[in-house]
Amino acid sequence: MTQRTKKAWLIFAIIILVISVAFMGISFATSRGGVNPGDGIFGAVLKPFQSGISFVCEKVGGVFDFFGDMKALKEENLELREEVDELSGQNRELLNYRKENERLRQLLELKESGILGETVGCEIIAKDPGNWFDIFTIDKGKNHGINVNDVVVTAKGLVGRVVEAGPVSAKVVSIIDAASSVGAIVTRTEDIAIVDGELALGEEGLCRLNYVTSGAGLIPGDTIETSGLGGIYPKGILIGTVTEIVDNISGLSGYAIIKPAVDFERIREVLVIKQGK
Amino acid sequence: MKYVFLTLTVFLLSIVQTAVLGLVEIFGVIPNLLLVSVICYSLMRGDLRSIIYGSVVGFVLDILSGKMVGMNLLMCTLAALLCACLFETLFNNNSFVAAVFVLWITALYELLIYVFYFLFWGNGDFLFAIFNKIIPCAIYNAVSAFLIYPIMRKISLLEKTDND
Repeated sequence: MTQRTKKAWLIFAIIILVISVAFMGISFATSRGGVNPGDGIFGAVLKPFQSGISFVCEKVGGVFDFFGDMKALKEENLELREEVDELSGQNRELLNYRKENERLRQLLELKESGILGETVGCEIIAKDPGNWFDIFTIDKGKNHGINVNDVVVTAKGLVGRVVEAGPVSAKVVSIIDAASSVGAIVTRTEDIAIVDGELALGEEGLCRLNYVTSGAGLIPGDTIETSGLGGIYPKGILIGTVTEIVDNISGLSGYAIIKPAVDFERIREVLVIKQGK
Repeated sequence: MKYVFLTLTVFLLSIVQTAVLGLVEIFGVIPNLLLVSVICYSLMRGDLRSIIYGSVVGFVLDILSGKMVGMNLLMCTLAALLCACLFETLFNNNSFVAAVFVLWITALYELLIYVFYFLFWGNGDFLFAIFNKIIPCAIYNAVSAFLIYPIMRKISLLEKTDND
């Protein structure tokens, strides 16, 4: 390196030094005044880029986070679904218990009221194997004191009567069976009639009130009870309510359609009234 | 071992018939699986044993129904006899043919029940019985035949193996 070159380097270094000191001085002075023109200019230029890059980074990072979290979310979702299923099952079970409890409580109240005399609580265990008859099997029989023609009820009303009693089970024919016939009385007017089962009506869970004179003045909503005539059904057990009145062409007598108080589709437990035969 | 399979079949089908089929009721009708088993078995074997099986099933149906004993016994025996007579001439071990037999025999069977229990006593609408009971039951039984036929065939084969 020549002497001249050395001198040039030295001059350059001094200039840089001076400029540096000058900048430092300016910076020091301006920082006190609260304005930094350099920062302002750079900031104005950089800000859109910074914002853009920051936005892009944030979004891209978010996408990666999204994919990263996806698996965890799926697992969590699966767990929550299983939990919901389990809780729904438990809820259904509890509702069933609640309904059963209500039914049994009503039966117990009826049994303890003593109006019906001695009764046996039974559960329905089987239905008729065919499609023509409304006959079902209960889980108690002669060993429990049940006999043929014992009357079967629920807390809501009349169900039917026992037609066959084995040692440990019995068969009950319901009042909607086409072969069933029950002596009845209209509660409001005290008119005597007969409640018969019918094939087509039985399909809808209904039955007929026959031999009603046109002067009986039946109206929909009238309640029908057992009359006690006939020697099988005791008096005063609710059979159902009148839903429709059909007058005969002759006008002398017609019939009414009865909706039984008992819902035969949902019947599970019954009480058998012992007749002591 | 000779009658074990058939006895078990009658026992299991009786339970299913009275306690389970209520859950698969369609248009208020359930299939009569016991009758279907009689028809399938008789078509398959065509011998005295199938007619005895028909009688036993008929008797069981009478007991389960709580109605007069004899009606189902007579009709199931006749159904088994009819199928046993036809098994050589018409049947070729085909479940579809069995289903057709089940359809017609069920229709006849249900019609006779209607005539005996309802029509004679002036109780029951004939058209209602035809369209709401007899035809749906015949169709349901025919469809059930596709399920019962393989079971009865298996039992028949097991019996033959046992005899050999």
